Amino acid sequence: MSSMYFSVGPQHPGSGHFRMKITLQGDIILNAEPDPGFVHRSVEKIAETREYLQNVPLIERQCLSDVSSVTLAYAMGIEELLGIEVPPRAQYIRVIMCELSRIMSHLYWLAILGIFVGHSTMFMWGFGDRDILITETAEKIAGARVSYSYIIPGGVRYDLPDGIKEHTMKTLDYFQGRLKEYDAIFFSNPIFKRRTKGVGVLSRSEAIRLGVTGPTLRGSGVRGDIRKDAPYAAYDELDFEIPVYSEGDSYSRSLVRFREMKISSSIIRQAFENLPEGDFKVKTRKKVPEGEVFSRVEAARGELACYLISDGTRKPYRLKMSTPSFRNLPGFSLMKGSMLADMPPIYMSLDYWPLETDR
Amino acid sequence: MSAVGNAFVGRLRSLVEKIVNVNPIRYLVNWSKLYSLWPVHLTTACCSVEFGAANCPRFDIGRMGVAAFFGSLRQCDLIIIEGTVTKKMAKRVKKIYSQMPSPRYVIAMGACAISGGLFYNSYNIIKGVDKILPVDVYVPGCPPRPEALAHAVLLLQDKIRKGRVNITKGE
Amino acid sequence: MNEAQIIDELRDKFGERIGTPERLRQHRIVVTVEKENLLDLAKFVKDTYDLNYAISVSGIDYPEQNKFVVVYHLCKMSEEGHLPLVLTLKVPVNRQTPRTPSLISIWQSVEWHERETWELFGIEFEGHPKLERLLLHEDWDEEFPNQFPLRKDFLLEDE
Ligand code: SF4
Repeated sequence: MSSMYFSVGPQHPGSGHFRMKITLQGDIILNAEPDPGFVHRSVEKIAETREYLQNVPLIERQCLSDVSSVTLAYAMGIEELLGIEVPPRAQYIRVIMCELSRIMSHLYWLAILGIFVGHSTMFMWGFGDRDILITETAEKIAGARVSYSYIIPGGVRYDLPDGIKEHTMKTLDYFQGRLKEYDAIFFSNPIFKRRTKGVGVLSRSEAIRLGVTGPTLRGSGVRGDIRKDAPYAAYDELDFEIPVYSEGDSYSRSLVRFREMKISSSIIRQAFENLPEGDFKVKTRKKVPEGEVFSRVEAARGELACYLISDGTRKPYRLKMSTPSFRNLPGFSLMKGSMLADMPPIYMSLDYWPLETDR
Repeated sequence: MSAVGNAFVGRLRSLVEKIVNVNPIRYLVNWSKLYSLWPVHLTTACCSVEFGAANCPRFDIGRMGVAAFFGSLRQCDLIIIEGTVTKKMAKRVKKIYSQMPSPRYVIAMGACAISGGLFYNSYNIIKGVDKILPVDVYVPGCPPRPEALAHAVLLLQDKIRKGRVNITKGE
Repeated sequence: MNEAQIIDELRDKFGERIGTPERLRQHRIVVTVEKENLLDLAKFVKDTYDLNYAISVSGIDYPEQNKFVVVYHLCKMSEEGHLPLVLTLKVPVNRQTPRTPSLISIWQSVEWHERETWELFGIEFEGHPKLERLLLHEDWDEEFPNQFPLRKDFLLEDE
């Protein structure tokens, strides 16, 4: 049988700014090769021409569905070079924002996964809840819907507003109920299970060999999470678990993210309960001393590392972001040998965000 | 077709156009276009997050007559450029635009699509999508709120309502 | 295994063949190595400390010193998660003939990172199976012949 070559994207419902070159034989995918670069906006180069603080909104744009972790990695790097301690209150607020954006990103993913497997209710629910519950809470705290540049070197930009604790608690209570409904309508749905169980299996050793990260790694039975392994912000003072599933298929990767939403809500609750009083930021200098730093955080899609080199001026000498989506690129080889109809669940289970790859 | 035939069709076309642009008929034709705008699903950059939100239950630009965004290119008459257009994407954007039947409309969403925005000095972007496509409505913001996009749709409908009906090729 | 032990062991084993291993802070060790000894060192750290997980590969341009530096960040991943230690390998590369051996035979996961570094810095990785355009657009070579965007001599418009 002869094979057929076609490309999925960049104009394609769902794939976004991204293309996949697929070779097909009959119904079986022989080869799937990602072709990134449609949103390469040269963030790393531009960052060298702007001052440290100006770079916060710039690097935030590389992942607009999960902004807090990106800025946190960058801010942590600068703080380490400056040698300043961030006040504990700011650390807790950072945790709250990071977990909010983790939920935000996972809901976005869940909605799109829903439409990819043909479940439009999940699409509507995911997006609706994301807007009404999480985005609104973030907006109350930080003043913008998605791009809030809230975490800056030295702390956070503003203190928490009055009454936000009650609002968030109420929201999270409601969200808990919604999660149960998601489980009932989507994750326990036999059709969804059939579409994803045993599809795109990534074994444990292969996951480590390919260097994938985040929920993709944890769905393959590896308990790798920077929040626990090399704690930052206030994560070492909070009590939470890391969901791990060992099957390594699309279903277990999805379940990891689903469980994480619940755990994130509990982290936010704890952070509000234990929130210390005090300053929310400290003064920083504009000139950063010479040196290099490698800071790692756990973003919604996996480990995000920021490699920053300073030459003692007001601008970075080199800024390299090693982003989770880029590191999950080898995961596309999972599609090899599966059926064409399995491509959407596999693609979505990697939670690929093209902007993060291209920077 | 022969030259005579061509000239005849041309004359016929301009005649029809004159008739169609008589007010009540023009109004009817425009009105029929107003509430069935079919956008292409082409995400070019991070504004797509807010585009997604605008399409979904809370803001729901569907109630203004923007149809679901899963149609084929040949049925679409609206293209919303969601953010930065890089040089690699620009080629595809042009190609997609040329495949859409006319009349077709363009909304440029976000600072990047208007002028380059945050990335104004990047080496890999087109500074403003109006360098490659004729833009009807600009939506400022980084990213614009979904309400702003809804407003842009209303502005576009206003433009269509007042516009002249053009039936010659290559509008 | 703590950092001091690793530093001692590396110094004992490799002596003059590598630069002095340096401890930046807790959990961060930096080793500079010439490209001739890179493969030996990489094999050694992988086998001895089980650093099986490459986090990132980056390039840095130092035009005054006439060199690029290719930086590998490595860590250990086991079933129970990451080891917090990150070992950094720095490989200086001549700026006129930027070539260095690829580490893809040791860490599969450097494949895409090396390809990106090749594209944006113009550093040739010997033995890499696929050095092709990744992020830049197809007509880059016509628009900016022989230029690499992340090098310091590539200037943006307002510089
Ligand atoms: S305008 Fe802002 S949000 Fe929109 S694409 Fe540009 S940077 Fe992204």
